[in-house]
Formats: sequence, structure tokens, C-alpha cells
Amino acid sequence: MKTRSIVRDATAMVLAVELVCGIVLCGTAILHERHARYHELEEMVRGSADSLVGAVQDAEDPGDHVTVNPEEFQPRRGDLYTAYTPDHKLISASSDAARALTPQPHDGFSKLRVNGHTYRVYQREALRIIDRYETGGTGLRRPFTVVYAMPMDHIWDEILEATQFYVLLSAALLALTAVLMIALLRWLLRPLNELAASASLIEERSLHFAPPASSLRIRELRPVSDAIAQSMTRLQHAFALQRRFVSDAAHELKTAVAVVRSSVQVLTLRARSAEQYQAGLDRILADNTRVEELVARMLTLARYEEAPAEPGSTCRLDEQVQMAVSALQNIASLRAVALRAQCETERPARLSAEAAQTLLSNLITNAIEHSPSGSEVVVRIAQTDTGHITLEVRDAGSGIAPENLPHVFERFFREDPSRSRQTGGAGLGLAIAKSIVENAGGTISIQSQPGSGTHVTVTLPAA
Amino acid sequence: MRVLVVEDEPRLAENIALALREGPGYAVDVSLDGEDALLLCTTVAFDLIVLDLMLPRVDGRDVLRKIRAQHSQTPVLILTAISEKQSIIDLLNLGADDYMTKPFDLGELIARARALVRRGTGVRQTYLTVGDVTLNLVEQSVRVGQLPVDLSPTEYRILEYLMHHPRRIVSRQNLLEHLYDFTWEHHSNVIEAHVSNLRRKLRAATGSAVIENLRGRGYRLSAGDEVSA
Repeated sequence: MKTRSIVRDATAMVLAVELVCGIVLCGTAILHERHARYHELEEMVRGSADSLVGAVQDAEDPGDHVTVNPEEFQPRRGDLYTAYTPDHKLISASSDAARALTPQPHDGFSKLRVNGHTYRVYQREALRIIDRYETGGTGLRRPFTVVYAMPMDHIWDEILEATQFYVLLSAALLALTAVLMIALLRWLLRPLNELAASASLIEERSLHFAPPASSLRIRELRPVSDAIAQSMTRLQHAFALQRRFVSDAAHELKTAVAVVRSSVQVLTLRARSAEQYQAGLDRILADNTRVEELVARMLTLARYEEAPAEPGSTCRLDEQVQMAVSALQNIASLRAVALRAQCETERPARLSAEAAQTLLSNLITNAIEHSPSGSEVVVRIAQTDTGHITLEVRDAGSGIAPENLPHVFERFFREDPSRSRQTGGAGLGLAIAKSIVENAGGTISIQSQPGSGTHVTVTLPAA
Repeated sequence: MRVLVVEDEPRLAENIALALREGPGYAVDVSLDGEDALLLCTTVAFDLIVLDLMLPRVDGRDVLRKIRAQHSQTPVLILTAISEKQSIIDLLNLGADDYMTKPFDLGELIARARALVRRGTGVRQTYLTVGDVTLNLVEQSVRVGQLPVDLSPTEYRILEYLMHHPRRIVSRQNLLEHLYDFTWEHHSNVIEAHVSNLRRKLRAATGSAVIENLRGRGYRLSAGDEVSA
């Protein structure tokens, strides 16, 4: 993946904006300068044309050819002019080149190219009164048209020269901005580096995160450091749970092994009769069977907690309930507990048959173990409107104390340890049930009233 | 000597109790949870408590803390599944006297229990001597001079208790409490019979009254003034 840099990107963006501003500034300056120069030129052309008119009017030539007295009017270097009668007869011209200056269709300003140069041209009408003496003061009115042209090639040079300052200034500012931006951004982003440094100090063992003071002062960084701190708290919690499980599991396993070992050693404390040895060996075997069961249940739990459910595996819960009930009927009748199945749906659930059997036998065995003799355990499955299948296991047993209810799904939790140890429970049954149900995308909940029984409800998605 | 075993695994508790009864011949009570253990501790002065750490209701650590808060001098041997250094340091700092990690050797448990009971009464040696009478705590044998004295297990236990508390008047009630656990049927005259047998055997061996019978008050071990423990 291509990495990006905030410093680089931000600098590039600011420089781009500044470049656009610079171009706009220079462009505006050029336009403004051009307008001013044009205006100035036009004023000059108009003024020169007016002076020329005056010079022509003052010329004393009576005929069709007028010679402008150089003392009256001296055109600027490079300027051209012509004067025409209304019937387009040339009456005066500054030079031969000026003959190209023919009268335009309209008076006023225009542009013209003569001999490879561009000229600003001004044309106006004027009136000349001649032979005033001969006519007794009234004189003869001779209208004429003056065409005056001033070269404008140099104007663009002047404009560029005048705006060059702005262009250079913009370029210098761009360079300065680039340097300053990089330095400032680095300084501004320093708290981010400090945050990264403290985040990198988090270790697997401690999971402690101390946000640097600089990141707490910055509004934009606050969410980041808060999020890291919160993640660490969650991780700490998860790790604590994991550590507790490992420590609980170690305790259970070591205790189970200690039982077997002590049973063997008790036998060797003194010489015993053959019958005593036989009884001792039977106890050792029973203790060993409990170690095996504990290991098997821990492996079951690990399997359902770690591996995701096999996709697409389904089973009909009514069949599974019938199987589990008939398998556990013996244990139930040994304790004089009536075990009854109530299947109201045949719709398959999204759960493998094996998982369903483990789930059912865990829940039903729990219910039977907590039922007084003569009571009833009911297993019921039904379909809901929302496309789920509910499984309920209800007993009329001693119930669970309210303070223990939130812990019953925890691993190795036993409500009455001495009793459940005697029945061989490791406190894993409900934890296994929970991981099976959650693995299948369902939910499990437990309601209990001390003295009147416990009610486990499982909701599974229907296939 | 009376021992309390606090262990929530019934089979393990059973085995430990059996080993302590059969080995050093202690009277052993068993508690399956911390609450029960604390209750027992307030009624009986145990000579040793074997305490598992992970207990239902009241955690082993809290049991230890509460026992020590009551200024109990009873030695405590901790059974733990955790062999972490810090945990052990914490436990010893809380007032535990010794610890063993599961799974443990039962023989070692017996040896450590013996040592703790001994030290609980201020004895460093593995034998007790009062006058001519020497009691070997390991062999569980009694000698007067070089001659062995043949005692029944109960007689031995009575003598052991008395020799742990020399020159002190030990009431009959006191003897009963430390020699029998709650599984025993109490018949006070039974202990009197054992004590009188013991007195007879010791008088025969030493030629003097090693155990005084103070009517209505109890028994006292005396061998003149040359008493050493």
C-alpha cells in the first residue's frame, strides 16, 4: 500500500492553494496594468491627435495639401498620422509609412498593423476655417479627418515588467511557505508522535497505557488516546478472564491429579489387607475416571469456543430431544425424576447433531441433578414467529440463589461445590452449553426462583 | 494434636485426613468451604490448619487473613495450585507458615505438618524430653532411658500432647479437644482410662509419677524440676 504523509499532503495542498492565489494575483495585476497602460496610451493618442488637429487648423496652406509646422506640432518618435478630407483625399501625413493609415469607417479608437508593428489608432473629425480675410472674416469651412497612430508593441513589455514583481513575490512566498509548513506541521504533529511513543510502550504483560499530556490537550487527539485507553481496558478485562480461566483450569487439573496421587499414597502408608488394597484401587480408578471426564469436558469447551460452527450443518431438534431424553431416562428414573419431552415443531435448527446432543445432555443432566425425587423435568421445543426455535428445560428443583445467577455460565462456577463435586460436576456444563449456543448464533438465558425451580431458555436460528 | 483440613475437593480432603490420622496420628476435621472453616476455627483451638486456596464462599486467602486477624497462633499450611513466586510471597506475608503446590507428595505433607505442629509449641528437635522420658516424634516411639515403652496409639498421642505442654495443667476437656475430631464419639471416661493406663506404664518404667492427676482440674506432666522441652 502506498503510504501517505499528512505533512506532505498538507504542504502540497497549501502550496496548491497559494499557487492559485498567486496566479489570480498576477493575472489581476496584469489585467489592471494593461487597462491602465491602454488608458494612458489612449489619452496620449487622443491628446496628440487633438494637438495635430490644432496644428492642421493653424496651418496656413489654403490648398489641399497641408504642411504641419514642426513648431506647432512635433509627433513623438514612431507615431504616425494622416489627415484626410471627407472625400478621402490625403491632405497631410507624418511620413511615407503613414500613408497606410487610411480613414476607418468609424471615428474613435481602433487597432491597426502597419509594417509589422501594432498601433493604437485614433480618428476624429475636425473643421478648418480658411481664407478668413478673403471672405470678410467668416472663412471657408473645410472639414477633415485626422487619423493618429501610436505604436503599442512596447506596452506588453511594460506590463510584464511592472507585474514581474508580483510573480517573483509569489514564487518567493511559495518557497517560504513550503519550508515553514513542513516545520510547523512537524511541530504541530509532535503530540501524535508522543502518543505513538506511549502506545508503543504498551506491553503484553502490563497492557498499561498512559496517554501523554500533550495528546490530552489536543481536541483532535483526545478521541484517539481515549480509544486506545478504552481498548486497553477491554483487553485487560479479556486477558484477566483468560488468566482466570487458565488459573482455574490449572487448579482443577492439579487438584484432580492430586486426588489420584494422594489416593495411591494413602494406600502405601502402611501394610493393608487384600480387601483394603482392592477397595483402594477401586477408589483410585474412580478418581482417575474423574480426571478423564474433567479433561474431556475442558476439551469439549475448548472445541466449541475456538472452532466456528460448521456452516450448513443442521439437525431436527425434535429428534435430538427424543434421543437425549431416552438416553437420560435411566438416570432420571434412578433419582425418581419424571423426564418429559414436548416437541411442538419439526423444523430443523442451524446446529450440528453432535452439538445438539452435547447441549441437550448438559442441560437435562443439570436439571435432573437439581430436581428433588418425585418432581418433573420438562424439555420443550417450539417455533417462534421470528424464524427461531426455542428450547426450554424446566425443573422444579431447589433453584439458584439470585447472587449466583449472573455467574452460572462462567467456567468452573459451582453453586454448591461440595455437592457438585460429589456428583462429578466440574462447573463446565453451562459454560459448554453457552459456547455451543453462541457458536450457532443463538442465545441462552436462565431464570430461577430459589425453591420453585430453574428454567433455561435457548433460542436457536431455524434452518 | 488436632488438625483442620480445608479443601473443597472431598476426595482430596478425605485422603489428606486419612494420611494425617494414620501417619502422625492426628485428630483431623474436614471443611469443604471457607465459611465452615472459619466457624470451626472459632470453636476449636487447632494445632494446625491445612488450607486450600481456591475455596467456595470464603476464599482461602480471606480465611487466612481472618484467622490471623483473630490473633490465632495456629500454624497454617497452604495448598495451592499456583507456584508463582509473587503468590507465595504474598501468602507468607499474610501469615502463612508453609505452602505446598498441588499435586503434592502425601509423605511430604505429613512431614511438613509434623514440623509445623512441633514448631507451633516451640520445639525445634524431632524428639521431646521430660525427665527420663524421651518421645521420638518421627518414629512415634517412647523411651525411658534406653528402654522402649510400649504405648497404644491413643496413649502415645496423650503423652505427645502433654509433652508439648510440659508443666502446664491440661484439662480433660483440653485433651479431648486436641485428640479427637468431630467424627469421634465422645466418652470422657474413655480418655480417663487411657490416661490411667499411660500413667501406670510410665510409673512402671520410671519408678515415679510422671503424670500428675489434679482432681477436677486435669493432668500435668512433671519430672521434678528438671523439665526440658
